Amino acid sequence: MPFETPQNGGFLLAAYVVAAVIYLAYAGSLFMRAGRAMREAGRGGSGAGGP
Amino acid sequence: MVEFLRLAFAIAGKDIRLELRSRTALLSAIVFSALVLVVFNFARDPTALAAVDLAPSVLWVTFAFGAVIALNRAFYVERENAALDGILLAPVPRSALYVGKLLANLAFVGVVETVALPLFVLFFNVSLGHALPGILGVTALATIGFVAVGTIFSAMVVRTRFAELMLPVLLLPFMVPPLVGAVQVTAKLLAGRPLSEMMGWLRLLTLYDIGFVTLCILVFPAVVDE
Amino acid sequence: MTPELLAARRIIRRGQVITLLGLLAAAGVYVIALRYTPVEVRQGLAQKIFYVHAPAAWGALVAFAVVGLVSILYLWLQDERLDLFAASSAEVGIAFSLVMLTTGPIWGKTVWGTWWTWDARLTLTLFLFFLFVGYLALRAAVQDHGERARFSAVVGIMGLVLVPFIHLSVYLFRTLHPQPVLLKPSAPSMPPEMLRALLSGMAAFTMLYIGFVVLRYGLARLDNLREGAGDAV
Repeated sequence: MPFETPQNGGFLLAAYVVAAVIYLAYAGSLFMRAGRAMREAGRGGSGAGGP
Repeated sequence: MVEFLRLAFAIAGKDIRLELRSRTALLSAIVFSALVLVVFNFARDPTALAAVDLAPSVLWVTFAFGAVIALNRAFYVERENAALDGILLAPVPRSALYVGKLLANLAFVGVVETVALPLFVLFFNVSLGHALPGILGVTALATIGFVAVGTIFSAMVVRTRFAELMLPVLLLPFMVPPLVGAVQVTAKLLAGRPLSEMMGWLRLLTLYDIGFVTLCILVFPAVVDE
Repeated sequence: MTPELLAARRIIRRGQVITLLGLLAAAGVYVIALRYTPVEVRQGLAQKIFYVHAPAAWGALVAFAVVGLVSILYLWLQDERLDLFAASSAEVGIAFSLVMLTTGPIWGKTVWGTWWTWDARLTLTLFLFFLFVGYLALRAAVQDHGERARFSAVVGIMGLVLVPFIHLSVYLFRTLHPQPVLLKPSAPSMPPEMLRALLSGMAAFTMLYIGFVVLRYGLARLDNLREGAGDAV
């Protein structure tokens, strides 16, 4: 067959890396925000009983 | 039903009278539309593209931006007069309030379009001729669609920070189906294509109008009531 | 600690666990897709982007549907927690849309030669992205919680109704996207290894979506409590 499979492994890598970065960055930000919030809630929340 | 319409027209009338007194919204929208048309003229290469090919897009971008400006300003009038709170105290059904505002906004945007269209014909040397009734029709159809959504969003954003930015940000995605339909139909009208080629788009526009006017009437109470 | 506080912390913990499991499952999908799938002859290696791209598109769509449906529930039941859940789904939806909107053009460049085309699925996801952004921007601009919840719900519901119209518009306009391979009446025309990788991807990223949303929701509940108690936010 005169057709040749294109050599585009670089694109594959780029896409997989970009996706992983987005997911991991978002997960990281959520974990950090949650950690900070829980620490602050633990400090100030125990006496602050709400309505 | 009659009472409903009477209320809606009364509310629309009040808004229109308010605007006629100050006229700032209308004037800024009209001047803006004229400016957009002028910019478009200088932004294109007359030797590269025939005016007729670009015409539908230019016309509708002008209408769309003019509409956003008109919608933004129309609600500022309301806020500055603190009139909205007064109306809400009265036992007016919320749907009548919405339809009244919709009619007023349609009138505003309609005036802007009525001024922009002849300017467009003048600046771009496009002959509408036989296509005029069709263009008026599709303009009405598409305008109802995005003004319906715009009325509800401007009611929401008027009290928020960055209101002038929030309205386009929220509204523009909703303007796309009516815009796409309008541009397509306008292009076909100007090219003298048969009606059968536009049926799909016209159905889209009609369905959009019915769907969103109904939806907006249903959700409007959530916007104005505590 | 108040029961509300305990509940929020519990939700956060659960969200963290599910997210970690989801990330692990996603890593597994990466391995499967990279090593255990055949190379498509016409498109080359880049075709494997599909195994990450399709679940991301699915995730964005699910996130959006959740925002819309939960918004309807909120207007009906007036429970503030529903509003917090919808907002969480919107934020997660942005992450999934971003993945779809980046992997899509990278893949598209190899298949179609251009970075962007206005085909049905890319365009729709772009709109979902704009709607998510508009939704969250509106929330940031409104101070009062009740007003914020009502306005968000209205935007969510209107966005939900908009989607079929966007789809119809693009369909009437044109489409370049490869024909759907799974949704045919006869058997899917994908070799079994590809199908397996795709379905694993769908499962793994759905779990990741759930993990993200639960975690984000727990965080929203916690923040809501702290705001209620008068803490500076």
